[in-house]
Amino acid sequence: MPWLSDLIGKSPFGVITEHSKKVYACVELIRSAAEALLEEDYDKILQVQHEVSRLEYEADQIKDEIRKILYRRLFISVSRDAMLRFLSAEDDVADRAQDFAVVLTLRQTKMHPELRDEFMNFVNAVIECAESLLVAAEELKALAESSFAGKEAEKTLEAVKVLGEKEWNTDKLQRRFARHFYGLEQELDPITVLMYDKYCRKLGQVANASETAGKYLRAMIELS
Amino acid sequence: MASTSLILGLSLIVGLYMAWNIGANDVANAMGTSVGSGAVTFRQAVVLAGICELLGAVLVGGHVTQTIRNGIVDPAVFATDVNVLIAGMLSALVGAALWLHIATYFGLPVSTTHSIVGSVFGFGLLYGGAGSVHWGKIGEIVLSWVISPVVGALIGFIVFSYIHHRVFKAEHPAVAAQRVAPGLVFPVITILVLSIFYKGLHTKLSFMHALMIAAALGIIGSIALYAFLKRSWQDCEGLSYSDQLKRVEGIFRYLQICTACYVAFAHGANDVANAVGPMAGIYAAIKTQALVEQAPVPVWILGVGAIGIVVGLATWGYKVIATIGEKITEMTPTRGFSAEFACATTVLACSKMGLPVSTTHTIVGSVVGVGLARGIASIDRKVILNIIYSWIITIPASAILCVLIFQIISRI
Repeated sequence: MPWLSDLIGKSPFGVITEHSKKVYACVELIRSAAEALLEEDYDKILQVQHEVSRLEYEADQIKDEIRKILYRRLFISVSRDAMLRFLSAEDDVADRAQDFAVVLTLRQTKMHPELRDEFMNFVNAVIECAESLLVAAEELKALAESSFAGKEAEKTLEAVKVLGEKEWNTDKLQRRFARHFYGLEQELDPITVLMYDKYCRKLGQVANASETAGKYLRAMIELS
Repeated sequence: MASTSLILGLSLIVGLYMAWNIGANDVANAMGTSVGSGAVTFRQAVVLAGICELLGAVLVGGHVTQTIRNGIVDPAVFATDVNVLIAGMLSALVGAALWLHIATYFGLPVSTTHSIVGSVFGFGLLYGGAGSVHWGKIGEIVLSWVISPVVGALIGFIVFSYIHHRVFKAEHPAVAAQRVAPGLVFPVITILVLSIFYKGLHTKLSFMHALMIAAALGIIGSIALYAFLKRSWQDCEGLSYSDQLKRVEGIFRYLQICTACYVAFAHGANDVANAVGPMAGIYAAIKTQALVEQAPVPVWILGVGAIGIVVGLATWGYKVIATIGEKITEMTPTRGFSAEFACATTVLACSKMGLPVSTTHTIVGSVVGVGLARGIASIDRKVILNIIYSWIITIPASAILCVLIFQIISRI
């Protein structure tokens, strides 16, 4: 048992990137679910929801593995607190994605033709947020190599900044969508409006969780 | 008492056993980070360490002739019976070696210096009484437990921070490394050469002269590396960032090997005495039928000790050093070099100040120091605690073993 390799052990960053990829896979499926909604293919929505649930469960398992590693270790140059919160936030992203998929299965709601484009724009924007997060998280291993310095760190911080901007963008699209469907409330039945509101919230939460994760990623880089 | 040749033969065997254990447990201090970073393979490490340890032992080791134990215990107490002292020294050696053997089996890096101190302390305490022990020296040793890893950590932190700021933060790290690495060669070689003079190559050079020679060699070394890098590591600017990082590590590999060889050389000079000192003491005691504070150690004894160390490293060294395929991701040459250089400098400074220092404690401290400078993200909590516990119980453990062995030997 060589003491040096035991002491330093396996870096947790590789596993964290794995988790991030799983989480992103969950979020990507939102697009399929949303498209299925627009096509009124309610069976497909159910299928997608099952898929998202499965992936979310797998992400949870990876998360538990990572937590075990993190609790055993003494963090001397990255804040463990930031790492744990980052992990929680990413977990949250997957959870909210799953929530959205579940909400879609609750009722066979139809999307008003005028709202279709805005809805898809909103969905795409949310997924873009998660994608920015993934891009940033994938840099973790390289960051460790360069001892959290220089161009690598700058690149990641820039990605987090972009994530923040994209989240702001999703906020705008969320409001636009909301204003539009409330504007159409005379043409819509109240429960449909209720459902649109749920979609709005859930999607917004996915984007928010992504931004939060980004903040903790930045904390990991900047704090020791 | 048994015949002198039997005693001598016995002390040779025991000395070799001790040397073997030193090789297995201690040489990891010099070569561990280099093997872990992939700078050298385990086989290459054995060869390099072998050469450097032998050179260090033979060229410089003879000067550490204080048969260590005399710092801890007052030999005048045993003036009446030389045989008791001989038996005591043998038991001390066997006790310390046994403890090392056990620790190596469990993969724990313990201090060979402190093992001997512990066993001699145990012997002195029991048979000479509390009055025969130099408690001040014991106090110094406990102090060094804290000082050597802390200073090692500090220097490791400073060196890696320097690399962090000057190389990793640069726009083109590989280009920066081409400048920084030769720059670092200067202090490395200067300190190296200075310490060789100061360990005691038989020269009567004044400090200033030694410093000037060391500095001159340092400058030559810097220029040599700079020229070499300029010629064989061109076009660094065009590379992708991750390729640049690979180049940086490639460049620091040279520095790391250099410091590893130095630590092995210093270890040979310092620690071979741990194995053969008692043998020399026994040899002298038998020859003169008296007790000696200082025993001149014949070169052949040093050579034998060094060979024992190398054999130990080759056969059991893998227990404490990573072997093939166990490259440690975060231990790259930049980190390894910083840690080794910190260790070498700390050991040198402490030896100069007369503090009994352990290279083992220092290298662990240095690695942590490098980590704190963001070179390593995290360490295993249980492992570091186990290592610290093993340091704490080293003195009592070898003391107890020594006493037990003495009981056995004195019956014979």
